Amino acid sequence: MTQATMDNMPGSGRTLWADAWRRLRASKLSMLCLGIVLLYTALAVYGEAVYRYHRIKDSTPSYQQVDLDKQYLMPSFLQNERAWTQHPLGTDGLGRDVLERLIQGTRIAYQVGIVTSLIAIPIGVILGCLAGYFGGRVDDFIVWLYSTFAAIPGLLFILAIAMVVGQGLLGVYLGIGLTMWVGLCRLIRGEVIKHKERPYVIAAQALGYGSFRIIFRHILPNIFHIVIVTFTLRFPASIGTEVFLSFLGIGVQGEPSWGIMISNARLRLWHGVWWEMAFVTLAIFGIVLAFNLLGDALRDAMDPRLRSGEEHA
Amino acid sequence: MGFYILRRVGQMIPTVLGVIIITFILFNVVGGSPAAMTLGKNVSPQLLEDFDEGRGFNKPLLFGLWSKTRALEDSDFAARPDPWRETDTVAHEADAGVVQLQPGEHALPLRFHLRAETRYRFRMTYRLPENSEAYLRWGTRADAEDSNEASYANVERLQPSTRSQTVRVMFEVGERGADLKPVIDVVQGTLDIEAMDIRRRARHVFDSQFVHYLGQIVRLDLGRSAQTNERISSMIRAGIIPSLTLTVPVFVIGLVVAISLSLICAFFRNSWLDRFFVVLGVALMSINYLVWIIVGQYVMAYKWGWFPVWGYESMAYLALPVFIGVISGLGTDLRFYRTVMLDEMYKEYVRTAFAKGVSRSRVLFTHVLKNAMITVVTNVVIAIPFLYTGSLLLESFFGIPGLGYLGINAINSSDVDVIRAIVLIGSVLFVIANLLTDICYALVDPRVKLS
Amino acid sequence: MSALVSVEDLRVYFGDPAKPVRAVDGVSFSIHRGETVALVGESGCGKSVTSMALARLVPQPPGVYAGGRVLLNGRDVLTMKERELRALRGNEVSYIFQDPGASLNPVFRIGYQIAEAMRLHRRDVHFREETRELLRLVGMTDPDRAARAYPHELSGGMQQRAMIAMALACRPKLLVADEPTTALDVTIQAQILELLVSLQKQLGMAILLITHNLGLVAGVAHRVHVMYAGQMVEAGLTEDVLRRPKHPYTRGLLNAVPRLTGSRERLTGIEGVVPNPARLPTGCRFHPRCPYARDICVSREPEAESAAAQHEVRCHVWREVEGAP
Repeated sequence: MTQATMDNMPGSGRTLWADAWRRLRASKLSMLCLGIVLLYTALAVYGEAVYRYHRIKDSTPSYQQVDLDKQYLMPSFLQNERAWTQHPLGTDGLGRDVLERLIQGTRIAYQVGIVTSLIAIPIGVILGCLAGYFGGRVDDFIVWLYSTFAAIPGLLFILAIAMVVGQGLLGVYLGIGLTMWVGLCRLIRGEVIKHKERPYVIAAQALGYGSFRIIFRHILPNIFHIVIVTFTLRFPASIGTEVFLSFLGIGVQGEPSWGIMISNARLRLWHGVWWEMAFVTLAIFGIVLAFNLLGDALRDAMDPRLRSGEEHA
Repeated sequence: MGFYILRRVGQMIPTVLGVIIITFILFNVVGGSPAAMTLGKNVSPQLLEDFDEGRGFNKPLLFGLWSKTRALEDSDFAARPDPWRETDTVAHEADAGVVQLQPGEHALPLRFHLRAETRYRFRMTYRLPENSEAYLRWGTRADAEDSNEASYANVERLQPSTRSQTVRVMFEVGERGADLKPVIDVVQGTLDIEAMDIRRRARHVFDSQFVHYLGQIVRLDLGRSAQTNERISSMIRAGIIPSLTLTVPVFVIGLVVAISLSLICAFFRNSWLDRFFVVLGVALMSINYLVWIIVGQYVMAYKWGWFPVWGYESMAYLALPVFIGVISGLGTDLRFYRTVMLDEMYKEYVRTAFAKGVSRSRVLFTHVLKNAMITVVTNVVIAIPFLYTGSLLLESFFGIPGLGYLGINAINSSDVDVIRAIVLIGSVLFVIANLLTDICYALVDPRVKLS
Repeated sequence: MSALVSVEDLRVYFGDPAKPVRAVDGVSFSIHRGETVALVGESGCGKSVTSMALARLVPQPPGVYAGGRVLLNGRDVLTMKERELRALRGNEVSYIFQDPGASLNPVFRIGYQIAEAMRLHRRDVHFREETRELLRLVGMTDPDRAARAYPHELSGGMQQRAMIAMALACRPKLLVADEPTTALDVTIQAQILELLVSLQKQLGMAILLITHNLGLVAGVAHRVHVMYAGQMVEAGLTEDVLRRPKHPYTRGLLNAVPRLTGSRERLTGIEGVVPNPARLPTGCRFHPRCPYARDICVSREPEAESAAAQHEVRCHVWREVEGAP
C-alpha cells in the first residue's frame, strides 16, 4: 500500500493539477522554495522596471554610476552605522552598490532563463511529439537530429555558437536554447511512444480524429507535466551557464550580470574584499537551490513514477 | 557480438555526418569568414583574402561555379560611389544611383590584384548615351611598358543606347595578376555606371567550402591556428595528456566516492544519514562551478597555502584542481547514483531476496548492485567524452595546458579553426563512447539480445 | 494439533501516524500443518499485506506493525531478532509471488538463485544436484538448461516453476503463494495449481494461497478466509463457505462468478466500490454496499461470531443472509 495507491482510491475526485498542488503544499520545504522563487521573480521584475525607466529617460542608472569616493565600502550591517539602508551589501571597486547590481543580475538571469526556455521548449516538445507519434522515417530523422546535437560537447557548443553569432545576448540565447531542447525532446518522445499504445489514443483514432489533434489535444495534456518539471530543472542550469558565459565575457556587455560581477569580484578577493563575491555566490546559490528543490518536489508531486517505480502493496 | 558491433558502428556514421554538417553550418554558413574576427579590423583586404584562400573560405558554400572576391565588392552606388573615388573626371549622383565617368582612361578600382591563373567574370550595368564612345580594355602584355591602346590584349566595346546595358566579360588572369590592369576607356561623351560586380570562377562545380572541409577531414588535416600558425592536429596531440592527467583522476575518484556514498544512502534508506546526504548533494550542486574554482583557489591555495596556485610543474599542481573537480561534481553524481540504487531497491526481485532470508547487506551489495551497475556503466561510459574537453574552466584557471585551456584561448582569440577542430573531435569521441557504452551494456546485461 | 502459524489480531498501518491507513485491522487466523488455506478478497483488502506480515516482510517505512502477534512455531515473528527472522525466511516459510518475471533477479541465472536459497540455510547438500532435482520436481523437462538460463529466457509458466523450485529449496513448512497464477495464461494457471497441490501431497507442507479468484479456491483449499477492507469477514471450510455463505460480501462474490452450467442469468455485481482505507465507513465497513444493511450496521462494528462448526462470520445480519435464496 503506497502513497500512490492511497491517493488514487476511488472517491478522491481530484484533477491531476489540484492533486499535485495538494501534495506540493504539504511539504514545507517546497513552499519555502516556492517563496524564494517568487521573491527572486519579484526582484527581477523590479529590476526590469528600473532598467526600462532609465532606458526611457536615457539616464545612467545608479548601479552604473561610478563614484570612486565610495569604493570598497563594507556591507553596512557589519558596521555600527545607523544608516544601514545606504549600502546594505557594500559597494564594489567602482563605488557601485552591490545590492542594486545583484538585482539587475537577477533580471538578466531571468531573461536568459525565460528566453532560452521559449526557444528550447517548443522545439523539444514539437519534435518529440512528432517523432514519438509518427515513428518511421520522421522518427529516424528526429532521432538522428538530436543525437547529432547531443554528440557535440555542451559548453563548447554554446561557446562556439555565441562566438559565431557575435556580441550580445542573442548568441547566448541561441547557444543555450539550441542545446537545451535535446533532453526535453528525448523525454517527450519516450512518453508519447508509451501513450501511443494506450487505449484512449486508440479510441481517439477509432473515432477518426486527425493525428495532430490527437497529439496536441489528447496526448500532450497528459504529458505536459514533464514540460513543467523540465522547465523548473533547466532554469537554474541556464542561469549557471549564463554565469560562465558572462564571466568569460560573452553575452551581456556593460550590464551587471552575475558572471561579470564574479569576474570583477575575483580580482578584489585577493585584496581581501570578500563581500561582493560572497553575496553574488549566495544570490546564485539561492535561486539555483530553490529551483532544484522545487523541481524535484514538482516531479514527485506530479508523477512519482517518473523517478521510481513503487507499486507493491 | 561482432555483428552487433558492426551494426552499432553503422548507426554511428549518420551521427558523425550530422556533426560534420552542423559544424559546417555553424562555422562556415553562419559564421562566414572569420577573417575580420581573427585578423582584426585594420588589415588590408589582400591579407583578408589570403586568409580566406588558405582556408577555402572564398569558395561557394555547397556547390557552384562562382564565388565572390574582396577585390571588388558588389556595388550599386545608391549611397556612395565606392569603390570609385570622386575626382574631376569621376562624379557620383546619389539620387540616380550612378557613377559618371568623363572622357579618359579609368582604371577599374580593384582593391588588390586579382589572382594569377584564375578566371573571373566581370559584369557592369551602364548607360552610354547615343553619341558617346567607350571601351573596356584589359590584359596588358608583359612586355608593354605602360598602358596604351595597343598594349591591351582584350577590348570590349560598350554599347550606346537610351536604355541600360549590361556587359559580361571573362578576365583570364595569366601569370601575374598585376598584368590584368582592366580599364574603362571613355573616348567621347560620358558613361553612367549603375552597378558592377566580379565573380571568381571555381575550378569545378564541386570546388566548394563543404567539399574542401570534407577533404580536410579525410586527410586528417585540421588546419592551422590563426594565432600561432601551428598545425592544429599537433596542438591537440600535445594537449591530450595534460587534460587526461586532470580529468581521469577527477572521474575515477568522483565515481568511487559517489557510488560508495550512494550505497551508504541506500543501506540506511530514509534515516537521517540518507537525508543528510540528499540535502548535501543538492546544496553542493547548487553552488556555481565558477565559485568552487575561484573560492577554492583563493582559500586553499592562496590563503592557506596548501597547494600551488597555477601551473603544471608536478603532480602537486594537480591536487587542488582534482579536488575541486571531484567536490563540484559530487552533488550531481551522488543524486543520480542514489536514485539508481533506490529505484532498484523498490523492484520486486528485492522482495523475493528478502523473502529468501538474504541479509540486508547482501541484498544491497550483491543483488541490487549488479543490476544498478548496468545503469551506472551506461552513465559512466557516456561521461568519457567529457574527459576530453577537460574541464574548460579548471584548466584555464589552474594553468593546465590541456585541451580545455586550448579551447578557452581559442574562444578568447576567436581562433575559429581550433574551435571547430575541438568541437569535431569531441563529438567523434562522444559517438565512440556511445558505441563503447552499448558494448559494455551488452556484456553486462544478460537481457540484451545480440542478434 | 497445534497450529503451524497463528495470527492474532494483526494490525498493519501505513502512512501518517495521525491518520493511518489501516490496511490490516485486526485479522486473526491460523494455518495447520499440511493444510491449504486460501485468503480471498478484492484488490486493496489487505490480503497481500497480511501474507507479507507472516515473515515481517512489510517495508517499514511506510508500513508499521501496529498490533497483534504472528506466531510461527510458537515464536512471535513481529518481535523476534533480525537474525532469527532471517533463519526462518526461505527455510521454514517461503514465498512465491505474482509476477515471476519481475520477482526473479534478471542478472543472475536460475540455478544460482535457487542455490543461493540453499546456501543460506543448508550445508549438507550438493547444490548442483539438488538444484537439478528441484527443477525436475517442479516439472521442468530440461533441468540443466533451465538452471543455466536467465529469467527472461524462460516463459511465464517456467518462470513460476523456477520460483517454486527456489521456494522449496529448503523444504519449508509453509509456502505462501501470493496470486501465483494471476499473471499467467489460463491453461498455465491450471498446471501451476496442480503442481502446487501435488507438491503439497509429496512434501506435506502447508500452503497459504492469496487470490482474488474464488474459482481457484474450490478445488485446492481446505479452508477459506474472506477479507474485506482490512478485516476478515468470513472464514470456514471451503465447501461450507462456498455452498452456504453467511456474509453478504461472500454472497455477492459468489453471485458474480459466471457459471458455465445452469440457467443463463444476468451477472450481478456488488454495488458500490471498495472504500478508501483512509476514510472507512462507520460501523460495518461493508454496509454502504450491502443489500441487507440495517441501522445497527451503520452504527456498530460487528464482531466475529461463530455461525456453525468451524465457520465464523463478522456480520450483524448473517442469519437473514443465510436464509435467503
